[in-house]
Amino acid sequence: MRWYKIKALMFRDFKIITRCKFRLVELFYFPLTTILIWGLFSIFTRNISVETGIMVLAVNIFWSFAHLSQFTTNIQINQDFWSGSFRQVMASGFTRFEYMFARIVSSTVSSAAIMVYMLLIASIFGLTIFFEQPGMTLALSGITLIGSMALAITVTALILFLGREYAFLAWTLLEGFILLSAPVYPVDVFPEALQHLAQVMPFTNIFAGVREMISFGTLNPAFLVNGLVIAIAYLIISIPLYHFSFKRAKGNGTLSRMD
Amino acid sequence: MDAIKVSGVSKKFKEKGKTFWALRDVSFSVKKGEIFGILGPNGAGKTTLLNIMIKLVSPDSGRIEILGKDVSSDNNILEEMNFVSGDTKFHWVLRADDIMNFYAMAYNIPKEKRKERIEKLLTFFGIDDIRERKFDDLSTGEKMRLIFAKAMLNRPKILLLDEPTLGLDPAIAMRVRDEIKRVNRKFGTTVILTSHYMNEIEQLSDRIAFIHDGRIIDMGKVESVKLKRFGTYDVIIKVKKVLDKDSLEKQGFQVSGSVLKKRLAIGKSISNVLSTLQKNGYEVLDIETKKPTLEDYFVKILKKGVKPEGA
Repeated sequence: MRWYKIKALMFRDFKIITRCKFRLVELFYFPLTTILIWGLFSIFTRNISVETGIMVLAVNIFWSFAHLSQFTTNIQINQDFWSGSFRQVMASGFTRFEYMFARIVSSTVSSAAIMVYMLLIASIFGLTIFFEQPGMTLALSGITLIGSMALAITVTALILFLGREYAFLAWTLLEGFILLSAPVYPVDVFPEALQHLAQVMPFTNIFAGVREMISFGTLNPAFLVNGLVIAIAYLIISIPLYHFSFKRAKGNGTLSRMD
Repeated sequence: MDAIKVSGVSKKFKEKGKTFWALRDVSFSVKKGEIFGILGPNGAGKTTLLNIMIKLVSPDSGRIEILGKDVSSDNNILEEMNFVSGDTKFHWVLRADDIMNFYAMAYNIPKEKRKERIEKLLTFFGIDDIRERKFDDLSTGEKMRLIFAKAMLNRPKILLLDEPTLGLDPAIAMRVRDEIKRVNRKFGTTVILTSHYMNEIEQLSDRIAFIHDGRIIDMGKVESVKLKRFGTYDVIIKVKKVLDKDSLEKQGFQVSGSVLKKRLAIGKSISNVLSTLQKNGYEVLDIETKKPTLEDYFVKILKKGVKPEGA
């Protein structure tokens, strides 16, 4: 892994973000409206149930963070395909892992900044526990990030395997995982068969942990451990999947036709 | 020493259940500083060959060595090369200086040298006034010059050009050809050029390979490649007055008014023909030789479905 290669792609990704209006909207506007909608909902529900609104708001922050970190990685790659610049980038000597890793790092930096931005806005609505317990917040965010990156790598692998018309997976696949990760409801809500599946979703333990933090002000370490194990398992599966898809795309000519 | 050595490279692709050969046992070598043209019809395998060189396609068999290094196993070799294709694009929102800075960083050009090198290249290609403009806002000519400026950032020892003038208007295409020559002469860059524009290949290449159905059919200097398929050329001579038509026809001339046409074997000089005419009292007004062009060669190969030598 050559650091100057990673730095070069990160430089390019940040230039694209700052010069591309829709990327700025994705990064700042949508999180802002999400937090405002659920923040106002939390004000409305204060008289009915103190926790419900804040819980939904807190889950939404982690949901948005998971979405942003995965989506940002994939959209950076998709934009290389759509702009017709993928061949040029690869011809300058990036290995498949340098290419992917750089995207993960730049996505992590921008998503982490947006996470802080969302938490700051949420504090206006009284959601301050994540600043009061920074260690727990960092742990939950870190595990969310690992799960999201594993999904981002999987999405890239699938697009390389299936072709660029499957680019829509970048903004659809994660939503299915969120649904099954039981964001604002417990896993028990699902039929029994789905409950088993939900237990191995990358964000189930994160959302359960967030709900527990809001309800009791504490976090059971089991959520962190289970969440971390599952996220790492996803990551371990996603890397060879990406390696295999890239190699296959190189073999059957798909890679040279991605842009 | 050879800059590029391609040995027995083969590649098959599957499309809609059918397998076809993109490259079949392709072998050639290119010397340092040479411009090597690869021509052939669409789908002949030219682009696949370049895609293998830039590691976007893996060959089924064979080996490519660039500057003595095996392309498939050396990660750094692409930093000694650069690649331009006719459809090269950069991200539409990036400005010219973003693009140059990104590639300068990707080629690990030290920060203190980066700015100076970018300035020099933009000036060399006459585009130093576009640095703050977005790629999408540039004219076709400015885009092509930016692409070439980017291609020279890492001072490549090898430049791969895949149909670099595809879709360009004649004036810009001519400018691009000039740039290729200029870069080759100034920096001693070895160039592999693919095109199906015959005149382009003929003008630029020191040697050529004709590729068809994934196979190299002919290879060598342009003239010698044409010689392999054409044994003769025509000489058209305009004389003041035809004195003895029968005698001229007996000597193998076709006579039409005051215009004489004779077919000569390639390599045979026209001086003998002219001196014979002058001895017989003819006053020559104009001489034109019609040698087969690369285009004639191309058409002949495709019509006859010629097999590679030794096949």
